[in-house]
Amino acid sequence: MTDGISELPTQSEPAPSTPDGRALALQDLSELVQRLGRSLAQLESAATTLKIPPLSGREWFDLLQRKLLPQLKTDSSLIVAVVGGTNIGKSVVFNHIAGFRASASSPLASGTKHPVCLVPQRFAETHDLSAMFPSFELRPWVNGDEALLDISSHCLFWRTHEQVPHNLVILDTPDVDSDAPVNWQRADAVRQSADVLVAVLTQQKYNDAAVKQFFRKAAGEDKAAIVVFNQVELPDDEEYWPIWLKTFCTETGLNPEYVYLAPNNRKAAEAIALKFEERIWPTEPAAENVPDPKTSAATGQSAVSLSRTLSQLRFAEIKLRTLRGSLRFVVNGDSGIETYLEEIRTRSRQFQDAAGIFLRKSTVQQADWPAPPNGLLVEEMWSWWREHREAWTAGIHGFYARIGGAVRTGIQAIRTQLGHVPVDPIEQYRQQEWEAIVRVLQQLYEQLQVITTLDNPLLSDRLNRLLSGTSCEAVLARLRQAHDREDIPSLVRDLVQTEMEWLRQERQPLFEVLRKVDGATAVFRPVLTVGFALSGGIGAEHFLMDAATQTLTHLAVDASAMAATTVAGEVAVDASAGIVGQAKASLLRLHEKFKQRRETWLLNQLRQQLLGELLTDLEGGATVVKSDSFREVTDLLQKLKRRMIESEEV
Amino acid sequence: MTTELAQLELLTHIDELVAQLSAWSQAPSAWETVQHGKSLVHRLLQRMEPLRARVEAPLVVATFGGTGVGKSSLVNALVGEDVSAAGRQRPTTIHPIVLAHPQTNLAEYGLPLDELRVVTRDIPLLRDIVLIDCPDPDTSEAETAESNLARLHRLLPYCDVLLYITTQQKYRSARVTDELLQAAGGCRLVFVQTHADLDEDIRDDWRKQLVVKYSVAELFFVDSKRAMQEQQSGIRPTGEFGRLIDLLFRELSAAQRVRIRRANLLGLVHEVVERARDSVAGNSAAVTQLEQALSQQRHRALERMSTRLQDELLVSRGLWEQRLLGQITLLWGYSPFASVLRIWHSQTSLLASFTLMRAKSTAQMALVGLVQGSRWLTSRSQASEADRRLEGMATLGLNDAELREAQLVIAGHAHAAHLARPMVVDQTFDHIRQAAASVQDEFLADAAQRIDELILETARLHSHWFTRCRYELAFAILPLFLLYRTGRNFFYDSFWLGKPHLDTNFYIPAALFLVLWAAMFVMSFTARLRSGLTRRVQKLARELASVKVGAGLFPTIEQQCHEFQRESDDLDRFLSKIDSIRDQYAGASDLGAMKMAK
Repeated sequence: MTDGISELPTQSEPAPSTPDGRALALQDLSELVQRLGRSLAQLESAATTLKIPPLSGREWFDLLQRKLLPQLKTDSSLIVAVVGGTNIGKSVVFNHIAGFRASASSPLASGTKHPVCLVPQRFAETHDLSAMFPSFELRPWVNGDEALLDISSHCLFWRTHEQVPHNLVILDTPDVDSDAPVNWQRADAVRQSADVLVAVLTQQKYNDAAVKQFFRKAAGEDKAAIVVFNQVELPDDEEYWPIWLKTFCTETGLNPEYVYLAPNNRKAAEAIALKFEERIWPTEPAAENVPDPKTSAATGQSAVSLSRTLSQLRFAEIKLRTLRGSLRFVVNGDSGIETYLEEIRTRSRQFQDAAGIFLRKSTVQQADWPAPPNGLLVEEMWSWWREHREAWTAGIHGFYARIGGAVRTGIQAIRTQLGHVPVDPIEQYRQQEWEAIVRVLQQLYEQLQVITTLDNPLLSDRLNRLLSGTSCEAVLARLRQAHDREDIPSLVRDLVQTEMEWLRQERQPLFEVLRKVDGATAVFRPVLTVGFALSGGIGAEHFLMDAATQTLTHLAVDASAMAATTVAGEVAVDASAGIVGQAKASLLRLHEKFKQRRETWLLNQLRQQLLGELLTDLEGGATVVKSDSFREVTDLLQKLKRRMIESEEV
Repeated sequence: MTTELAQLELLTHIDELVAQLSAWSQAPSAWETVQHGKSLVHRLLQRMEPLRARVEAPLVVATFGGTGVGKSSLVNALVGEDVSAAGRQRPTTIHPIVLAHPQTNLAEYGLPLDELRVVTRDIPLLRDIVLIDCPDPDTSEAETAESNLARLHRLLPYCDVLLYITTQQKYRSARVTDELLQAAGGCRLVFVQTHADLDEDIRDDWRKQLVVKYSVAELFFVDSKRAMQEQQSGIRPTGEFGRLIDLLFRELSAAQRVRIRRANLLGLVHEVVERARDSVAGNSAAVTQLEQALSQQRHRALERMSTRLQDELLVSRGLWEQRLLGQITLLWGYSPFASVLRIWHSQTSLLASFTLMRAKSTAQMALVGLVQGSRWLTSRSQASEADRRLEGMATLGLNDAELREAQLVIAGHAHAAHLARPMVVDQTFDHIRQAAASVQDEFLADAAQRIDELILETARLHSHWFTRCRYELAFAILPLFLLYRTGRNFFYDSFWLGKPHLDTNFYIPAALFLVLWAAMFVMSFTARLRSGLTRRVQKLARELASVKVGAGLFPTIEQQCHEFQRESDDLDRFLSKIDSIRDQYAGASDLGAMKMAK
């Protein structure tokens, strides 16, 4: 009765190649895969900013975790899993393999919720079961009904059993098609770990989409398969099963090692006394060799034959084949790591593009930024000048300045009395600057809103959060705070000092001219002071002071250009024509510098307060492809591919 | 007769509902979510038109279930003939079959007849129904045009009743249950478990699964093979299958057609309106937030304006005095002290008119008073209304930065609430300035009126007869004394005693003292007027800040918020109307259906 079975393996068995060579190759690959696993973990944490779906849940990564990492390193056992749709008798088939009611079967669908695992005796001494099934919480088996328990965590109930052949682990799994998706997840996890799938099919379900999808994945990973057609009506279905199986094989790409038919006999199923009948597949090439259906039905195989078949599986070969199949899947450009890397590359590029959209300098520059408080600038320039002018002019100018100051104070006091509230130029500037900031912000928000309509899912979500009214308010408040903290007078002072120092160092002739001019004006001082006093009375002291400075530069520089040339020497002669221009230019330069500083400040503030994390994330995301872990994964992947090609050639 | 009347009434109710829904779905909305709901409803109504047209035609009954559950066998057993190929290969039925009575006009259904094989049989069952044997939903992994799933989807819109058929193996197949959920909205359901000859009865567990989403009447457990044998040997099927046939005859008879179709229609409408409502309700939090932000902005604007008004009012003390004095002289009439006050007032008025010429501040204008202020305004400038408003803005209202801030925040909220972008973008800055100016005008008008009231009130306070008497009497002392002194000198001393007349030595100092005396009183009186003024102005500002203004800075957006509320109320109204129609006309039925959530 068992002869037929024991002969079967040899039919398709190729000449075994040197097992030692294979082991070596495995060892080699194992090391690479371990390293790959580590650098992938690093890459994943580096790529968190990219917000791509996590590694776990990707078929190739789960294969790596559940199949390759645990099984490449040890002389691990062959894992056999009974799989299929809901309520078609998976547990019945499993119990027949086990020879006792190891997993409860129920007439109701979606019964088995957790895998049940049978291991050979003393298996636990040599193997770490939890490392073999990293996605499950292992629990020792107490009775078959546990598999039906509705526990939210993924459990795996296991026990030893004397009938399980050495180096074999047999599992019953939840269904792949019921309305409880958690069952599918568990079945997928078992499938990924497994080497041999006992595919239980029925005439109702062999062509179901969910079932086909499941087995197609298994075929992609080169699993060995044993097909059991359950609930078959014999002998009526004898002519149909090859059609069913053909459809199934073409649809899924699976090529079963063995095929069994189990009759539709509920009583026998309950009693674990079903008679499994073996059939030869494929039938076509050896049509004459097909045993007469009647005889094979007559010599119906007992339940023992199923587990016997399992014990006769060519362990090493199948193991190697499924490992290789999984590896191929993992390194395959269409399904494996490459897809993840490509996803990172694409996303990284998107991040880079997105980052480019934000904060073009032009936005800030387009806003007509207010001119710096001229009065303040000039005042600062004067005070700097006072420290650097010659002693004798300082005396004269100082004297007049005090008189002028006193007059001005008086005039201002009178005007205040008249109800004219003096405007603080700094406050005024601050207000103008704030208006410019709000304008810039408004433009920026408008641009951002346009970006959201581009329907970039990567940005839209975060941008929408950014654009919400609450966030607008918060940004405004923070900006306002930062703006209020700005000490504008000291900014002006700082700028004037650096600029004047620069003038003194770099524009020596001009500086000398100015010094001469200062000397000359000391003589004209009384006239100027009267001008000041009068101007103060009219009201725009700052404007006039500014105007006075300009007149001063204009008139006086022209007047004493001759004197300056003699003092400054040859260099100045060339430059003398442009001295007025230079003086004007340096004032303009001061304006420009101040504006630039303020714009840079705003730009930084916007980066911090408005885009903050988003921009950092985008910029960070753009660099993931340049990270060490990305390079390492790419390198390891190339190595792995080369090594696989080499070993396949061997 | 009464049932017929009820039937008519039901039809009327449903027609009304459909008309209302149609009107609702055609009015455009600026809210993206509302518009989405409207398009949904609109689409549904379009789809329902043909459905409404063939309300009296025989019902379309279709099989629905996974492959291999025995849909074709059941259909064959129902008609007692192998019309639809049943087999052991999956899937068997690729070209669906329509079974109809020869007298049934299939053309009026608009069925995709080129995809169907039509079989006509003159049997009693087919007098009342058209039977379709549908393809399965669970062998196709993707819905390509030629897939069974696509064929099924093309047929489902025509079905009035689904025979949901399943087996022990398939009753919990995720794909089939998901598809049923999609299909069941506009259908009545009959639940059947087949393969009674082979499988165990799982109806209890099945019912447990079904009741979550469906109202379940009876579950049948049939053996199509035996029923077929019975049919072919001329016996009416017995057992569960017989009861199934009874149900079909009873519940799907001609008398039930309208009721079933209306119930289906209500179910469909309910489903769609509910989805529209969910879509709108999902947005309502954001709209509420927008509304809050709007009222916050309005409040903030008001607060700013009243603070500024208060500051300016406090600065313009001279004007206060002047207005108060004017009011008081009006109240007091022509008593001596009142005349002094009047003289003083006319003096200061002259000065004040100079001040007024310089007064730019709107607050000062408000203080000058509504009448004078506006007269002064019209005479003062030929500038356009808009210009005046904008100028006013600068002094009292909100400056550009503040307006822009408000605009930014509101735009953000509107964006989050999915208000159509044009609604927000159209609000150019000038619009908002105008809106702000009109808000300010309203505010100022209110303020001016209150200031007038305040002045009148204060003036009354200082015109009490007791106060008046005190001032008049005290003031009269010097004039009376001087009168007495000159009178005595003239009539008595010089006539009788022959003393000389009083000369300039007396009159000049007397006049001087009189002026000083008057000035002293006027000063003490104005000092009195001034006391407590600050407190009153502050109180006024507080009152103004808490006042409810009509429109805010963003009237269009505010308007849209109200619209949103109205639309969402409309949807709730539709839902409750659907519920009430259903409750009113829900007859006991042995057919299953999808549950409607209340």
